[in-house]
Amino acid sequence: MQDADGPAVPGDEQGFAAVVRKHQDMVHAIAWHFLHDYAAAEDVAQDVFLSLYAHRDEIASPQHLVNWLRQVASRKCLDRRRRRTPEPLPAELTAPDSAGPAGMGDPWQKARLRRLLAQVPAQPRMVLLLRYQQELGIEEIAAALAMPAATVRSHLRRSLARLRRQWRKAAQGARS
Amino acid sequence: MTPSDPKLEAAIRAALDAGTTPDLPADFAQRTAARAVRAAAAAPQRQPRRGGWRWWLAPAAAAILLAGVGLRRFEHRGGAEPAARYAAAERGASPRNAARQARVRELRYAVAVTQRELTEITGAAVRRAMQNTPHSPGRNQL
Repeated sequence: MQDADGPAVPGDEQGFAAVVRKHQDMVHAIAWHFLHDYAAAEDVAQDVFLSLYAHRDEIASPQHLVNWLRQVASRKCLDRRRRRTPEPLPAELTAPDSAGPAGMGDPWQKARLRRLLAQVPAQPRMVLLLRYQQELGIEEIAAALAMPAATVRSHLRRSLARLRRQWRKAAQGARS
Repeated sequence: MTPSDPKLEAAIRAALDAGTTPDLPADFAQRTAARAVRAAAAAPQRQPRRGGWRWWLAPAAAAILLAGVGLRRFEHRGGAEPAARYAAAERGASPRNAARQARVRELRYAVAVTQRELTEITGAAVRRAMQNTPHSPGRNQL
């Protein structure tokens, strides 16, 4: 399906490269925050865009394109995680960073929370990622991960409760 | 309802901040687009199906198989005697139990028919034997 003023995803190399350039950060951010592996995230991003090129005729509009990319990126990340055992978080993520924007809180706390997020199981973690990194609504996450909205809500509720508990525990441990 | 915990949610947003994502190589888009175009060109083109009749063989075989399975299941569930099933259901039996009762009824009927036939065969054999016995005077003359 295509718009009156041309396809949403052009078939020529330059046009397609422009589409990739426009959306690569979003796709790569999902993969990177989920996998914590630069090379794997780049692979996933490239896979997603190769699939997009193969299915470009099915993309109806720019909004459809964004949803499609999020959906395929999430699924490819989950598939990749299923195939291999989880690896520990890289040192640069567990160390406190000073590069974050001002007013975003204590860098130590950020690093601790990232560590806790990395311990959340794959599917709930993807739900958290889409909710708080991509700022998607419940229905959008449900569509992207092909799960009922009630399941998304329950993943969110449980993950937040778990993070809250662990965060408090870690804070108490740090104080004592 | 998703619980609202603004402080924790803000902390998660900060931890997942997009600014922490390392940049992709500058030539990523161009490289990916070139690879996608190359892969599409190298992929075998789907040939239009040539005329023929074999294409319907697989669906027809599947339909026959499904019909066979369906029939077998229908019979297995007591479909062969819906009246008996209905009667059992009327007596308050569950559908599964009604089917079972109908099957039992069918088996009993089959056993009764076999018994009657056996009796007839045996009776005829006995009669024939009696007719030929030397201790039944008069019968031999028939």
